[in-house]
Amino acid sequence: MFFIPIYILILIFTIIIDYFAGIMIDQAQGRRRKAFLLLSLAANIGVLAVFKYYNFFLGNLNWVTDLFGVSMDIPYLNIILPIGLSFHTFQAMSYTIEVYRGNFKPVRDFGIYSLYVMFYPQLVAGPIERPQNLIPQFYQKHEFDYDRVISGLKLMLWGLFKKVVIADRLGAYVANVFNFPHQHSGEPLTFWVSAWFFAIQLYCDFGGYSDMAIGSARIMGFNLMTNFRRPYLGRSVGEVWQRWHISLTTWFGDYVFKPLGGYRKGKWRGIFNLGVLMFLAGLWHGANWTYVLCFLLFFIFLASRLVMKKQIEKFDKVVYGIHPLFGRIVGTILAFHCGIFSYIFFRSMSVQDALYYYSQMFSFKSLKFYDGDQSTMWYGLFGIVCLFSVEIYQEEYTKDKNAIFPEPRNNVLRYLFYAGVISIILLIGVFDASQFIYFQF
Amino acid sequence: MQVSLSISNSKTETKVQSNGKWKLLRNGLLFLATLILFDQLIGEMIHYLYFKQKAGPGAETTFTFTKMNEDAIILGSSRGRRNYNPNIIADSLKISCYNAGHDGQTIFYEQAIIRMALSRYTPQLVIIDLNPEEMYYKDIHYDRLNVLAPYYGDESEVRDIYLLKGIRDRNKSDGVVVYPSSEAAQNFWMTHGAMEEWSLPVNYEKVKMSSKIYRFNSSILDIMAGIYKNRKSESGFKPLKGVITEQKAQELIRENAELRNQEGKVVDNNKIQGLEEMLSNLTSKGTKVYVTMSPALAPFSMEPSYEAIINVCKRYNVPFKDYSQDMSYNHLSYFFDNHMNKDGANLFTSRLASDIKKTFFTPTVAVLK
Repeated sequence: MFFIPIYILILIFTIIIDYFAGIMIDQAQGRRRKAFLLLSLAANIGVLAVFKYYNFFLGNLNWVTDLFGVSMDIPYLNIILPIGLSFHTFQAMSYTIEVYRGNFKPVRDFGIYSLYVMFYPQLVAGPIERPQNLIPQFYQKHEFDYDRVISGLKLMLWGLFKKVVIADRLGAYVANVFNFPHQHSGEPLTFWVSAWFFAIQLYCDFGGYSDMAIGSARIMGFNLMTNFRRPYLGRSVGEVWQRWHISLTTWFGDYVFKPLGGYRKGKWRGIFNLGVLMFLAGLWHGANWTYVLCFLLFFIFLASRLVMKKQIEKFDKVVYGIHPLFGRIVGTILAFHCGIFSYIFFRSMSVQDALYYYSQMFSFKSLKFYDGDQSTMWYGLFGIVCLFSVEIYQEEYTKDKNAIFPEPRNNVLRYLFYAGVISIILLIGVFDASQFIYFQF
Repeated sequence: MQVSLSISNSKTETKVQSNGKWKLLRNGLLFLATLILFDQLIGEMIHYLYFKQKAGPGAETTFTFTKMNEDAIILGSSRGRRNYNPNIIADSLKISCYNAGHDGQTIFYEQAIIRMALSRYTPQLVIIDLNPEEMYYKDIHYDRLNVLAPYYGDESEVRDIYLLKGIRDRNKSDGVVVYPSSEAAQNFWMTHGAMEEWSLPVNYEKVKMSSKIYRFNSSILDIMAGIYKNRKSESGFKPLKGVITEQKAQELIRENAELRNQEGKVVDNNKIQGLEEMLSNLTSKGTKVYVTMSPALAPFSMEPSYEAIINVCKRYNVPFKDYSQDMSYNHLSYFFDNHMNKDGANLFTSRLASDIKKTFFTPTVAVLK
């Protein structure tokens, strides 16, 4: 991970613009309100456009002009993307939009507003907060609360487990296949396993980070919004979407989908609006067509649920008719696979690599299988079993929404249980150089 | 009345908070004690099992570190392990020989072997197989120092080598690009630096090593397998059977060239120091050292790491020979992949033994006559 100190000015620039824009929007009337909102949005989107999308746009422009034989020699910008830029610009935009909508009174304290944008637990990778939830908490007096501290620590421990025991372990296998797909040609099973592993790696990496961010804030007395709600236990692709990166999906829902009309203007208009949302969500993730295609593929799955509603309901009736649990399992597995088909674009180095990956998944020529370093496979599988056991417990067997582990009630046993969890992290966690996937956005 | 009630409430709240803090402190200490006890107990159990292994990488490393007493030692990575047949050296030079090569390891591991060996005896001959990129900084080479972790508590010789994992070289990382390149921008505010430069001067590996469980991180399955398997090789040699195809060879040659052309490679001072320490300690004790690069699919070319190896050898008057330049090995029938197969390894080791004999074991007087 690298730093360029001068980049702090970007953050200061957007903070100043949005702070004053919030006040001006509140004071102004009529079209002037909108003008100040547009100024704020232009500043934030402008920063994103320059640092995140300029070279991408230029690359595509060059490609198109080359296609027509008109070579444009516009130089690329020699810049790198500041860490967490997409997160804090989105958080900043939600502030001015909420002030514009009259849902939130602007903050008059520059320090508090700066803290809203730069609150350290969620600065680099979210959850992308809304001003209504976070800013009032900065004005409250935070007393020491034993139960809250313990709950925060447990959440951080679970996040750490997800990151170092599951995500980073599976990541070693995934990297080998996705980075060198041609070395595994003729091994369809390898491509399937790697796709499954990546889906779990992605969730545990980002979900693990989110748990640690939310947990650390909770220790200090701050409640951040839930970012993942056990997405792979979702019964349908729609449910997976609702449980995944909630702070971002609701952001796009509140500020893009609903203003476009949502589903209010009919099914087909609703599908179009959803398409716009998914296109922007893809682009938000990175200036690369692989991200856009990932989200567009997921959009196709979501849209087909709307288009084929009757057939899907019939199908659900049949599988749930056999046994409710059977129906649940089938639904969950199908939804999970909609996810993995999309994530292949997300993880592939290029669109060509992704297409090659898909073709290999379905080239059932041999049962040859790359098991990598065997211990990676076994530790990874152990991690996956732990993940689903804990999440099924959280989903089905407890009413306490803050409960994380199925811990014993007896104090001694509980201490031993947590000592055991930490021992597993020490014994099979991956502690070597690795970073969080979402830090790059 | 209302005022006194609110004062009383506020007092109760303060009392609850204060109780909570004490509860956290008390329970935290209790949990810490449980954790330490747990860690020590489980750690000791795994330690016991680790040294019970009969086969596998852990058992081989333990043998190399604690029992190896052969006159000649072969050091290297997987190329060292597969390209050198110690039995041929033993027969040819009439001395016992052990191949202590270890897959994926570099100069640091070899440095640890030499320290451990010299603490017990003085070998007559040490052959060090290096590759031309050996001296470059690579994060993964430091990550792989975890093979030394199980010995951290028992063997003081390996301790500071292991701790390099936490120090590394803070100014280097894989693929460093300095931005912006113009000289005018080379000031603090515009310099592209690594976050690690800002980290506290603490060697976190030292902290992590206080956990006995962590010393066996990621090795529990290998330990279980090592207990039930039997040792296959008495000499450390792991020959490969089979011949590479023309297509695979071309692919590997292309991949190797790509790796060699990667930008941002920097010579690692820790590795140079490691090689220097080995050559210095061995030669000062009278051990004959022969540094080689075993045959490869394509000849190695000169690059900063290669040059650094030659310079260190020159400084300590140690013979160095690059066998990748010898075109007589340029046959696919001698290779399995990037490594030689058994036939190739036997042919190469025979010639190597003859070269070593000429270099070290031919009586000078006889030559003069």
